[in-house]
Amino acid sequence: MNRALKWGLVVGAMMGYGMVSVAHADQLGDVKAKGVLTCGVLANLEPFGFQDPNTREYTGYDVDFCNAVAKGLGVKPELKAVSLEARIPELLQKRIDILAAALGYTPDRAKQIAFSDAYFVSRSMVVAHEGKGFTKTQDLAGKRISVVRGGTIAIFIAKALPTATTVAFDDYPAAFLAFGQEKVDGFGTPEIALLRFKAKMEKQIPMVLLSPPVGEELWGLGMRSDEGGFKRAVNGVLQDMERSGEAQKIFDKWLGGATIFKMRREFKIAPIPPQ
Amino acid sequence: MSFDLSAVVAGAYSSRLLDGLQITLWLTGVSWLLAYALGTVLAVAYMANNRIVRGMVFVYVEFHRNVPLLVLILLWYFGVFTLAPGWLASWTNGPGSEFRASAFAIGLCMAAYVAEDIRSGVRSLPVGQNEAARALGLSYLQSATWVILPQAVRIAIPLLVNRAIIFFKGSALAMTVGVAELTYVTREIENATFRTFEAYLIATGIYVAISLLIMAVGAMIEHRFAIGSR
Repeated sequence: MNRALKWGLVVGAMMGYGMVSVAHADQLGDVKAKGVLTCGVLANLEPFGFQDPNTREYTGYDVDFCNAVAKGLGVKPELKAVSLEARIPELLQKRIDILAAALGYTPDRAKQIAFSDAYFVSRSMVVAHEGKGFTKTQDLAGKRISVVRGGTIAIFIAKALPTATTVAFDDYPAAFLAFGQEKVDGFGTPEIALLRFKAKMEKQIPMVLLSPPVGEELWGLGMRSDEGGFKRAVNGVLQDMERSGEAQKIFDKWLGGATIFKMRREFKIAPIPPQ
Repeated sequence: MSFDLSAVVAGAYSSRLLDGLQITLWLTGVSWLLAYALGTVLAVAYMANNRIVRGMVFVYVEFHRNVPLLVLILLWYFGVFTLAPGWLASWTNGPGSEFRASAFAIGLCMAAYVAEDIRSGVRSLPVGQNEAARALGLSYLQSATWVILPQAVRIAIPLLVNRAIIFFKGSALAMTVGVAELTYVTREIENATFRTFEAYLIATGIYVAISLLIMAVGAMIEHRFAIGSR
């Protein structure tokens, strides 16, 4: 038993050692000296971070922001694909400098990493089957709603519909299938994913979008929280992008009228208000 | 940013972890019951001198050994349960159906392995045991129940305990269909707090503790029912 305890301490200490960092290095200086900004992006979340089937390069809304931030800092971007599960450790262990990976702000998450100004606002919505008497979000109180693991949607639903149960699946097809097979009454997801599924599945599964949205997710670029100077520099670049219209251009390219989403940009890049 | 275990057990998180643990234990328990009951039946059936019965057991075992457990769970939840007749619909499609489908998938898959484990025990016995039992006038079932199985199962206990641990951990796969078991809850807490290491460290500790407990109980059973030498 004693030996087991000792080993436990050794393992614990090793893990702790990896996590506790000392804040003497200045990341902004490091990045500029290196001349490279290593940026973590998701590889399978169209249209934010995904592989272009033709060029096989990573591309998307998040990727464009990465490239623009690197350019604004006067360095070269280096893209690194991260998984939803590993994105935070990758950042904390300094394998990447910054995350542009669909990071929705929550106060609990902000204790772990620093968020830049919000560069995207994602509304979270719930759909229900047509003709079942569900017309507004509150009608789903006490019902079961399928969601995809890894997002903030479950957190929003817990707040907006405390009596509802969320059932989390690994990916969109599974969460949507559970909804399609009526194993759950609603399907909750960010607006973007919803618009894509509605466009594809509307004919087979008639559904209604319930309003109001259950929440609004503010996406920030993720950085280590002990790098104030770096964060200020990144925010400076983001604000410049807003002023120059580049942010609007990136939005229109991936989500605007010419895309299947046909969204209008109803936000400006702005600091995330403390909640 | 620091290492802080208390952050992932603070407030509602600890009760969520306990709920998850409870579901893991229930899922494990139900699938074990199913597996050991059906596995024994399959092993006895295989002992029969009937080629059709043997063939059926063989197909069952090979099917479950060659399809990944994750696929079996998805198959039961999104496939078999959806094809159930209308009068069963609330049971197969209503709340809790993900738990039931997972329990079936895990239990039936584990049964195939349990059958093989018990069969190994049976094969380690001298053929004379069965022949003597039959010569004494015991029927096939009586011989299996009173002579062969009691010995075979005792020999197979280490294998069966091993199997129990593997499928206890396998219960984590049920999270893919939305069963809020321990790993599911862990990932939710990780997602809410971004404390990846702390969340998985706690889950690891719980899994290890329970696995060790299963091993200890297994060793006790093995000791208690060991076939004494004369």
